[in-house]
Formats: sequence, structure tokens, C-alpha cells
Amino acid sequence: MKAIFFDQVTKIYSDGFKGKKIALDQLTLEVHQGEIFGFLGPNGAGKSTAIKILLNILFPTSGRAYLLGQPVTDKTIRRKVGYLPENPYFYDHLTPEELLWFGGKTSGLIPTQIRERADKLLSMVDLDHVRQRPLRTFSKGMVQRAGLALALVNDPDVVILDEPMSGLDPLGRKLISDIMRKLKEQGKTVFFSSHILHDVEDLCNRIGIIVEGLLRLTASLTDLLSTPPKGWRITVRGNKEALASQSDRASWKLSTTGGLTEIQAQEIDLYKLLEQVKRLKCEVVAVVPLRETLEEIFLREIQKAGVKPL
Amino acid sequence: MSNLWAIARITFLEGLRSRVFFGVLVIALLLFSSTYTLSYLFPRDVIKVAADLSLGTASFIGVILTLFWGTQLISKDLEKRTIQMVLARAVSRSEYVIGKFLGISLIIVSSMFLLSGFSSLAVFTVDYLTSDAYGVVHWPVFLFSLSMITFMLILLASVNFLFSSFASSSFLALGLTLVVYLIGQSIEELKRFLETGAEGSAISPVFLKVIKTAYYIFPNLATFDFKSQAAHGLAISSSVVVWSVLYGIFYIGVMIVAAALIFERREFP
Repeated sequence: MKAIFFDQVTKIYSDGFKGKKIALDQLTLEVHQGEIFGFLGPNGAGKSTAIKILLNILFPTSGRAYLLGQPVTDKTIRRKVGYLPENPYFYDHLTPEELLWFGGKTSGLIPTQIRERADKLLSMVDLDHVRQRPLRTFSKGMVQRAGLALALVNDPDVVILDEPMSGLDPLGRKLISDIMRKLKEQGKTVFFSSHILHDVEDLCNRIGIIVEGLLRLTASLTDLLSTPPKGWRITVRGNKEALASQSDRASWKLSTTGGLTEIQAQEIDLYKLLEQVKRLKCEVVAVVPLRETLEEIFLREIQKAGVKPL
Repeated sequence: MSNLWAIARITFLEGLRSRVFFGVLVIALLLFSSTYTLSYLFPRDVIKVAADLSLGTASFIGVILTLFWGTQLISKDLEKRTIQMVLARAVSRSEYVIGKFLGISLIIVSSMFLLSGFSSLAVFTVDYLTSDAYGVVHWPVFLFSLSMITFMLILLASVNFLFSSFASSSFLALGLTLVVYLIGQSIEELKRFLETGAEGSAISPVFLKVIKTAYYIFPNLATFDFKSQAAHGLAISSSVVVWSVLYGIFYIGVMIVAAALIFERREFP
């Protein structure tokens, strides 16, 4: 079964006197169960609009969206869904405990289940010691973590996270990455939007790149990043002069740090390259293939669409 | 039912813990404590004045709190987008509206319970320190009057709810509710004056029609005003009570159903 399915979803906003703005243009996208799907796009690309349509917070102008095979208009399906909004804002005077009680209650959990889940989740997001403190006293990172606990209180099958890493310090980002990995191990589906490509590269099975409401690319990250190398970076020790004269002939780019020289070569044949280095009597320290990074792929798709960064 | 209770409870807790709530209660306490002094400005009707003054203060503070909560608890949800967190759960928009309304009604009932305590204490103190020659307190009518003020405030909250469901800003919803409150307070009197008191005078029939139409559209808040009966100890017939309660329930129902219908179609970008 598809965990998430957008079937030709279009969303048009009326922009007052300026006319209309197409936020999503015929979006068709499937996310399979157990997948971690990274939804990428520049600011204003339509990522949050798509997420809000999934949660029935916004209505599509045309097309339909489904969660676990059910139309998103069916509220009961959200009992199996968890959502963390971008920059979450909860009730100031509530405590994390009360917030999770609300989440559990609206998901049909009984009081003992709510207590169990709250204990587990609050200690997982490291908020156990402040479980009875009002949320208004929390830092941005703490609110984000409380939001994540709320999203997971019903042990959802599908977890939707809108920019979960935004504004977090490295520790907070690591905590959220670790939780996402755990969810992946448990076979949960995670659909998240992000600007932080390193995290996406690290966590996702598949990605989708959306630009100006149009889905430009969907691909498995393994397929995308395991293309043949377009060159090699070899770190060597010794014979700097010989390397410099060879670099002119072979169009290598050299950079030297201390006793080590880094060669960046466009040569695809690694054996041929190593042979050349060996002939120069250099000791090979490290070899790294040069592949197109996710960032390069992302920027290429944006440039193809002719969008300038905001 | 579980969803309604969940939303009502968090609304109630959020409202009750607000610092403004405590601030207004302190002001209320000060106002009630001045009842004794003010009542003695009218030596012959000390008890009547005390009862009238206490009920008036309870009603005034109640209106302020109701308008404050209407603005704070609904509009803030929309402006800060907390509503997205609620609707992302397995909650329908109608459940949100009804649950939120129940929560606000609970806050109104609780705060009116406190205000009723203060106001009864003020009247009791005046009564205790004054000889019976200055009148007696008619407690059943007095307490009934307080409960009808509470009912009126819940109705006012439902009006605020309707405006909040479509108004673009909290100030607009607040302003519109205030206008309705002011019209609702005087519409019955105005209609009666135009129908009877102004006989013979040249009143445009169109104006009379407008007022009559307004009478049926705006809530007739005078229906819930039993302050003078409480002050003078006048009996209230059961048919008046039943009519007032039924009218209130009907009006609240219409407001909440309309608000829910608007919310069902509303998006929250």
C-alpha cells in the first residue's frame, strides 16, 4: 500500500488584485511504506502547501491526496499520522505532559497508554525533567522537540515533518536525525521537507525536488549518488616537483597542505591514474571518487527551472 | 466526544492560566470591595443599590473577560497557526469549533463562579452591617440573576466565535462583538420605545422596520437582565425563565452551527 499518494494535485492561491499563484501544479507523487522520503525545494516551492494538503489543513484546487490508501478528508486516518509543523507554536500555558495528553486523547488512546507513551517520548526527546513546565518558557529547540514528541505520541505509521531541522543547533539536529533513523528501523514512513541537504543525503531512501510547484525529479538516493565517478581525488606524499610538472601535462589540480598533496583529476580510469602517481614515486594516502553531490543535483534542477534563490 | 473534551480541556487550562485573567480578577475584587462605600451614598436603598451594583460589576467584568478570551483563545489560534497543530490530529473543524466553545464556556462559568462569590460576599457584608429597615437581600433572585448573566456571557462568546470564524483580524472580531453587545443591550428598549412611546411622533416606517428586523437578528441581551428584579426582590415567572433559557440556547446554537459551517470551508495556510 502507498503510504502517501498525491494524485494530480493542483493548488492555486488567489493573490488579491495581483491575480492567482499556482503553488502546486499537477503534483503526482507516491511514497511507499517504510520509506524515508526527502521533499526538497527552494523557499516558496510548494513543499509546505503539499504537506498541509496531506493533513487537510488546505484543500486542493483539483486532484486528490491519500494517506495509507484513504482520502485525506477522512479525519480518522490522522490517528495513524504524526505531524511536526515548521516553527511549531503550541499553547503557551500548557506543559509538555498536557500537550501529549491532548495528542493521545485525539488519537483515541486510553489514559494508561497516553502515560506510557508520554514517559517514553519525553525521555527520548530529553524533556523529561521539564515535563510540567509551561511551554512558553521553552527555547526554540525545546519547543521543536516537544512538537516531535506530540507527532509521535500515537505511534503513527506515517510521520510528516516540515523542516524538522530548521533553527536547531547541531545537538538538536542529531537528536532528530537519530529519531528518524529509529523510525526507519521500525518500518515507519517518514516524509520530510528540508533545506539541509547533508541530513537528507544521510537519512533518505528517496527524494523529490519541487521547484515553483512542479515536481522536477524523484529518485532513489542510491541511484542518484552511485553514478560512475567523474574523476578522483588522490592524496599523496612526496615528490612535489614531479607532481607539479605532471599536473601541467595531465590537467590535474593540485593543492598542498604540509607534506601532503591533493590531486584532483578528471581521469576516470583509476588504475591509469594510480600508475602515473606510482611512476612519480609518490606514496598514496587516500583515494576518493568525485561524484555529483546532492547539492549539485539540487542546484542543477533549480537552475533548469530558471529560479533565482530568494 | 473524546475530541470535544480534549479541545475543551486545553482551552480551559490555557485560559485559566493567563495572567490577564488574574489581573482582571484583582480589579474585580477592588470594585466589589467598594460596594459598601458606594451603597451608603444612597441611604434609603442601601441593599437595593448594593445588589444592583454587585450584579452590574459582575456583568461588566464578565463582558471584559469574555471579549478578552474570545480574542485571545480563538484569534491567537488562527494568527499563531496553533489551529494547524489541532487540525493535524484526528479532529474535524466542527469538533474544533464546538470543543473550543465548550472550553471558553467552562472558563466563563468558572470565572463567573468566582465573581458571583465576590459579589455575594459584597452584598452579604452590606446586608450584615445594615439594619433590615434599609431592605433585605432576595438571595434566590440575586443568584438567579447572576446565573443569567453567565448565560448571557456564553451567548456573547458564541457571537464572538462566529465573527472570529471569518474576520481577518482579532480586532475586527472584537469590535464587531462589542457592537453586537451594545445593540443587544438596548434593542428591546428601542423597539418598545418606537412602538409605544413614540406614538404620534413622525417616525419613518422604514426606520421602524429596520429596528424590528434588527430586533430579530441581534441577540436581545435584555432577556437575560434580571438585575432590577434582584435589587427590588420581584418575583420572576417560570415562563419568563423558560423563554429566556430557550431563546439563549437557540441563539447560541445558531451562532455555533454557523461558525462550524464557516470553519468547515476555511483553509489555514
